[in-house]
Amino acid sequence: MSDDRIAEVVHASDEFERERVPDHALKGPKKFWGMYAGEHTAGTEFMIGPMFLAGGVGVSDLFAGLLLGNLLAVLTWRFVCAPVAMRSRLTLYYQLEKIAGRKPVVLYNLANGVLFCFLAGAMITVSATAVIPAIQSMGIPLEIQQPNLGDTLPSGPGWIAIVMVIGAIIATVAAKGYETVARIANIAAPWMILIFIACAVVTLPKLDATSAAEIWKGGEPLAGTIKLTFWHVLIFAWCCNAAMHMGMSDLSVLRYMRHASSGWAPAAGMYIGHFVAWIAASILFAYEVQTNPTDPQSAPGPMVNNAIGFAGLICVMVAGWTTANPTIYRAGLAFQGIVPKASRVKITLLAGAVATVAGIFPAVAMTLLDFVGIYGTVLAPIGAIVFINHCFANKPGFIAYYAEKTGSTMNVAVLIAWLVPVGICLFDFFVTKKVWAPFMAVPAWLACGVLYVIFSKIWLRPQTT
Amino acid sequence: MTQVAKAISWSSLFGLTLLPPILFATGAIDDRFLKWLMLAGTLIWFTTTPIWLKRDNA
Repeated sequence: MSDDRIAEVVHASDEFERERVPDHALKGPKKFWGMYAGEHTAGTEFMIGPMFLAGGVGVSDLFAGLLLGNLLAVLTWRFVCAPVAMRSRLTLYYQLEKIAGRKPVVLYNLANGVLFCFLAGAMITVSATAVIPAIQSMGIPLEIQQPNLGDTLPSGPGWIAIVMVIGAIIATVAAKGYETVARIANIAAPWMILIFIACAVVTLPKLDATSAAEIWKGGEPLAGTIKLTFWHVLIFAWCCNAAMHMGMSDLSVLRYMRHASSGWAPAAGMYIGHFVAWIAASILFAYEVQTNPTDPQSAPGPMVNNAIGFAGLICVMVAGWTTANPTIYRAGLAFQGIVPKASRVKITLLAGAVATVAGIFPAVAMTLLDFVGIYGTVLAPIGAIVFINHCFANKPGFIAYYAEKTGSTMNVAVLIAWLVPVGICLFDFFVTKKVWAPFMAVPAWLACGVLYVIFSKIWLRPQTT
Repeated sequence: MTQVAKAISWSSLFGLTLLPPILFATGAIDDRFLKWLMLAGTLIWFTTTPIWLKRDNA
């Protein structure tokens, strides 16, 4: 790409990263409903449904857990994230810089960007599982082994090449900015949801079940997976997007809301997307377990190809694509928080390259429940800092936007309040392994908020610059 | 033009994406025909929807 072309794209994608979104740039509800529906009907949904089944969750527990967990997620978006977005109209990264100062933000942005890249990598992995049968169905002989639950390394050069091509396409689109991302998601969303439903409708008659409860009964988990229950489903449904709602990462998107009621838009993603998509994917995997009980394959591509053919393969590819796009876009914003003067286009392309390398290794996609849990646990607590800043802004004795007002580059209260709970959780995740990762996000968020209030009282004093 | 594209889009979505699985589940069509119909619906949706969606969102 020439420098002129890059400059043109940067200008076209000037998206108020370090200023309030002006009134003329605000967007109506349609953009948000479409984007959330598309973003949360993702390629990775094809992985999550089977993982619940593999963990031995019964039908009734899955339904009840998803209904309540998704409700908690929607309420968190609407009443925790949306009010902050409406008042500040700033990205999380810039807002955090005004509260915490430059140095803690660099650390947070690095963690944020890297984790987003890994998540996008999982989405690219899922897309790749569909590309292989798509090529094979066109008569091209291709011997590439699909990844399965528990796999960590790429299966060979063919797999690596396919992932690299997909990653390059996704990164290029993400670099063009919010408008392009929203447009692709809007076009694909209604069709994608019907494809998920079609997978379930086509597969149900093939199952040896006479009632809903017999589709799968739950019980013992498959080898190599832990036992999951109603509570695991509920908490996972609530916290799988913890970084985005209680972690405030979606300020980047919701700051464009013209009306606060657009804060309900994530309901489209939670109920049409997660609820329907996870159940549909579970049904697909139930059929796979029925036909291949000793070694069921969880790769989404072959499962949807078996159910509805090439249209399903396109869905897996597009579903991975429309979700990886905003994830890489968010990662680009995070990295730009570290290097503010860098071109967002170049930074986003870099984030796409990291995601592509992550996507080559199926480890993240194949242990997605754990990864999503730790991703929320690390990133969400920083949203508590922003939320406390929002709620206590007018309270006597509390200094809102502390770093901006005092000229500080290091708000120690923020750093310690974030690192203490996150450090304890990471220690458990990597060393003691007592608590399932998604269970840690909410306690870490609450602890971070409480610690920030306490440390603010102790350490933060008004200063003149 | 926009209205025609919109009508074709939604018709393909319901007629060639939603309906075929139901027909398959009731035994009215076979697996091979189901897959062709759904692919046709997909191609029509992605060809016609960009024509009208941009205008609707403007």
